[in-house]
Amino acid sequence: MSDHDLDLITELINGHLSPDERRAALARVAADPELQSEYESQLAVSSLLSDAPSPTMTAAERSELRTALRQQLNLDSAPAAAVIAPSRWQRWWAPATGLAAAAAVIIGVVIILPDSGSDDSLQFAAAQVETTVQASRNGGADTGGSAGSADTADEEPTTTTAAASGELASPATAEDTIDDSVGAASESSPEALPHIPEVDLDQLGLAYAEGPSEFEDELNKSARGVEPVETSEIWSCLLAETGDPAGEPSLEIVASGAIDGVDVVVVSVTPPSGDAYLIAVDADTCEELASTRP
Amino acid sequence: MTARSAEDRALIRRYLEGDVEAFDELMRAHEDRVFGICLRMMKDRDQALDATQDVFLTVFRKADRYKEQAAFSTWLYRVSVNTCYDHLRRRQRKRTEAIPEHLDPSDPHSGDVLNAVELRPDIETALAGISPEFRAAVVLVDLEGMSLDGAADTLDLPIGTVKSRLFRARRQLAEVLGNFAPGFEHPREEP
Repeated sequence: MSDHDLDLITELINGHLSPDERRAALARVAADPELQSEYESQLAVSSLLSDAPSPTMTAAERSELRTALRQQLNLDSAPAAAVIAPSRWQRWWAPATGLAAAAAVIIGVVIILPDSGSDDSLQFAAAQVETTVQASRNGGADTGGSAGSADTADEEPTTTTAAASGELASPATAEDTIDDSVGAASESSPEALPHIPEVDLDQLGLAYAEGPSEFEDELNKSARGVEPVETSEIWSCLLAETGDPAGEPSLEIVASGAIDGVDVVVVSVTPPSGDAYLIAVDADTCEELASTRP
Repeated sequence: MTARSAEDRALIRRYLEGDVEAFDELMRAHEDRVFGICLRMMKDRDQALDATQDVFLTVFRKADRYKEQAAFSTWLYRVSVNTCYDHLRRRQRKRTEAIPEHLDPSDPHSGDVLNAVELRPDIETALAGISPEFRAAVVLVDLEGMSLDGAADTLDLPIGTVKSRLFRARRQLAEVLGNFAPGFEHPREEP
């Protein structure tokens, strides 16, 4: 069965064809017993699932959900929407270099991003957690920074929503300081799930205000699940951008955020030879915005 | 633009202006469908509720970044699928995936799960047995009734990839569930 036949069956089932195309497709299917059998089997599964009623929450679950969200979004106490505007992000990241140092966080590099439409060019620091954390991550080398081959053979990877929507991803996976979900980071996963984890900017901001140790704790918590996004399109693009004759570089997302309306991802690049550097790219286009590349 | 889509945009604007009522209206409009996607992706009701909460937390916190070129629902369901991927990955890491062959009768939620999903247990198990990416395609198209284009937008994938995933997912489901020969009748669960 060809890919064309495969598409034909799916289009027939999902009504993606004009009446003429549909007639032709049905004739094609009817003329081939294998195709006919596959079509009927697929149609049966689809119909079986389509007929299932939609699940709903109970009244108690609904109430609990909304109450929890109202609390977490501060909707009851603060009428203003609990959202992070880029300006706020910029405000608290600008002095974060000093804070990060106080929090025993090693500042990687300061990147000056080009002006992208506003008069305010943004300066921010991409921090890397201290060496103990780094060492623990190195222990889980099979999920490390080098981009592996995606195992979803015929499929194109997803550019993650989280990256595109501009959350700040904190530095590294702190295997020894966070929960067991990260402690298992060295286990190889049979499924390369495309995702960049969410990081709560509000929480990081609050912890920043509280003090260095709180900030460090929150940073470590925020590092949960942070790992290379091996299957993302941006990853492939970065590999192409940062390719080295000596081999593939090790890539690691250290931060992401919206800057003047542009979703930016900051990646630490460690070439097989030479010094590590940071590169900031547009998360949507992979266009290089800034780099500390020598 | 559909009426729902226009209404969602207006509600998001109101929410960003601090109108808490807009939050409730958006929740009313979308919470069941998001929960439905999460439940069918996660299978476990409690985990689906957790994922649903995370979805809305993300969406409301990032509401100012919603780009109105796309329908709000597309963005919302994309966040939903990605959040479920994340939860599934965490679950897998904790080695508690254990999508049960049978539900523990001592679990007070076990009946709820079946009632909520309203699928035959063998279909649920078959669904849980395919990869999350394949499952997402089937959940959006077959269970949520999304068009191929809509699913492609939601999953941020080329339509050809969605068709491929859908085809392969259905084939795997058919193999697990047995022979769907012509004339096959699909017995429904007794209420």
